[in-house]
Amino acid sequence: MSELVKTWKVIVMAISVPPLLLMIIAALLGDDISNLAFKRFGNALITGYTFSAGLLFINMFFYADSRQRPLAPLFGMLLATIFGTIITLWLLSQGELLLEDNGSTRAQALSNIVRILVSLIALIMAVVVSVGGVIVAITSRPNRKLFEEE
Amino acid sequence: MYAMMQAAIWFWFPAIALVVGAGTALSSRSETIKKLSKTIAIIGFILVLLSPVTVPESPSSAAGHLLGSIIGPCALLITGIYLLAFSGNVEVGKLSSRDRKIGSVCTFFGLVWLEGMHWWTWTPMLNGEVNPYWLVFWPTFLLISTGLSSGAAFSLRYLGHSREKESNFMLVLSSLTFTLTVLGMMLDGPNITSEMFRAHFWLAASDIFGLGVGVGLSILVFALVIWIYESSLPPAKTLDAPSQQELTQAASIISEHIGGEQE
Repeated sequence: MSELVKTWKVIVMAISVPPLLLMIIAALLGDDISNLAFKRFGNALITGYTFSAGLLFINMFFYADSRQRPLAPLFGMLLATIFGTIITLWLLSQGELLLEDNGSTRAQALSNIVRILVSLIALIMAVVVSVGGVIVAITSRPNRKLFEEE
Repeated sequence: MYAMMQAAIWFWFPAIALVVGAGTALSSRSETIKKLSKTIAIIGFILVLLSPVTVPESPSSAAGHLLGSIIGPCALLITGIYLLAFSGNVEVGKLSSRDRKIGSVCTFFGLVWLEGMHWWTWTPMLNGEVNPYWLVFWPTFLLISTGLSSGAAFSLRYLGHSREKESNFMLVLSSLTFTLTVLGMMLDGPNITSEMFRAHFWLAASDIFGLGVGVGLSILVFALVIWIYESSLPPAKTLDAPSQQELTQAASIISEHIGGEQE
């Protein structure tokens, strides 16, 4: 295994181990919310898929621009987005399967969209703090000498 | 039906205007469209912020309330980090040492403000209850910050050269968010109990995991659509190998341009 692969494995582990440790601590404190967590996972999955497929469909216009505007991939991505929307609405209409505290399919779908936006804001702020922290740490140090003068 | 229309006019259309306006302002090349998109995005943003007043009966307006509640500390944090980063050792556009002090104060108060929302009485409250979206934002922010800061620390150590001090700083940041999360799980705040925080921590983890899988699936579908289309295209025309006559002509042109006999 090359050094680079090892390094990336360490970095992926560094990103995933602290959240996993937090989950272990939360599990040790003994709450059973597996049903709610499953519902939230399902809702996030279908909403994330549909939302992201919609954005990628818009992105497909840029791809089409570089390929003399073919319709086939645009149509394909549009189908994928519509498929996601239909599956989302169908799954949400299956009674208690994915409904959380909302009384109707529409309320749950809208709540999912708002939640995904709030999660995105949280993600952006976390990236600002982490990446900003790295830049602050790097620029706070005095300039390093790359070469000693002869 | 009337309530739904009200929610659409005062929350959903402005929210769409905000997202589309911001996206267009970032991606458009035309200055006129950029200005127009920025204006649309700002109007959308203001209307979303006002949604708890304009459509208080809509559950979605809680997102507008959250946005209004966190905009202060988030702006302080972003400004503080910017001032700190660009008042350090940067080659171009270095800010003054006074900006560095202001940056430190902004970052400190931004963090204290956010912490006060969990540990003190500054929690975003809506109709006497904790704003449900704050319980989405805060655990998600802590969980992702912990992972990303730890990843950044190890990236600096393994990919950077002599970056141990910076790596240690990021480890301290990761440990801080880790500790805050564990404390939230074990100790009650004035408005958020440890049990409530743990429940929402699990939900935030499910949210992130579900989002990751969903987004990953859509990228896979996107790649599949392009691959199917590209593989259906006829193969590109390749040129025939050069004939002997063409090779001779090329050789003669090349020989005229090397050697330097003519100069």
